[in-house]
Amino acid sequence: MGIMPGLKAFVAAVLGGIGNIPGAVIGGLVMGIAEVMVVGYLSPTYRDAIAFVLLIVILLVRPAGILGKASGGEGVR
Amino acid sequence: MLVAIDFALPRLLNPYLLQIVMLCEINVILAVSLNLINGFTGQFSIGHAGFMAIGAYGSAMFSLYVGRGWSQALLDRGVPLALASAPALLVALLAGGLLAAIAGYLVGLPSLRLRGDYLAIVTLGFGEIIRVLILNIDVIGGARGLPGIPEWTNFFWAGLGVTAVVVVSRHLAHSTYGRALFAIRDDEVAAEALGVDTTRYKVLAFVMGAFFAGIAGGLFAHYLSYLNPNSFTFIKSIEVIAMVVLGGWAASPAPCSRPSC
Repeated sequence: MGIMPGLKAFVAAVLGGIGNIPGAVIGGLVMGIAEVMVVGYLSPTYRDAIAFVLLIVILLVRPAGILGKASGGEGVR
Repeated sequence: MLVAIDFALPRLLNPYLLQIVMLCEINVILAVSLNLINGFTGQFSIGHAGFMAIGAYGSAMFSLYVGRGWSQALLDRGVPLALASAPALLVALLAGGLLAAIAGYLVGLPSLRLRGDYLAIVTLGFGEIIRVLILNIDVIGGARGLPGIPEWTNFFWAGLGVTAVVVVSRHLAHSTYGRALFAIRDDEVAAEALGVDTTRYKVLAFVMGAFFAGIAGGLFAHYLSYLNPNSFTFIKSIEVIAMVVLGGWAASPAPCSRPSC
């Protein structure tokens, strides 16, 4: 397993919005479903990539995560 | 001087020690280039292995398909090997560096909106995406790795790379650009209020750091003559960060790099 699960947990938390419990749940769900879809329809080797692609796309659209506060967050300008 | 050391070193050290010296040089380039992003500009990037991988694979592909022909043509005209490989290696390194710089530009763009943890995780994700992509592209070997890269890197070329990155970062630290980068690190809002174009300088830092990481990757590829995506994992990025932290954030080889001293 190695370091990947820990990283993905962090990614899921950021995805939902750090410090936001419903956000973390949603982030984990979105990421898990996306991974399984990619494994099922595309290729299992892209499994690790899709988590991060999703993260980058979502952070570009909503810099504070899915449920994060739109502005004034800690990590966002 | 580099030529003299390059000539003397294989006669003084055994191959094992020589390899350590070479890898040290490559790691110096990596650490100093990461220092441009993490130390000077204060943008916490943990995707440096990704830039290195792009540079390594880019320059390796260039050498395999174009560079080898050039060096062979020169060899046929009776030019000695060390000189015959020089133009091909130089162009290969620059090509790798440029590819990495383009990637650095693409990563620099999200850094305009994100800070701290968020930027760190995006750069980390970028490094992982690069590795997984390389793993899945069959033309560049995929998981089998890329063998048969010409073995052109020697102490001279690695030393030249170290000199270039050290001189550039040293001059940068004392220039207008360097001051702007330090200002962004110390307080981004204040820097922007003072008229520093923060987005431009942040992207600039990413592009330069990525360029030199790409060159380090190219040297690495032409030294080991074999590349594998597993050389460029997340752990490699952490190693480079550890090197930078060990030497001190934002410490440059210059005697005085901080505006405050």
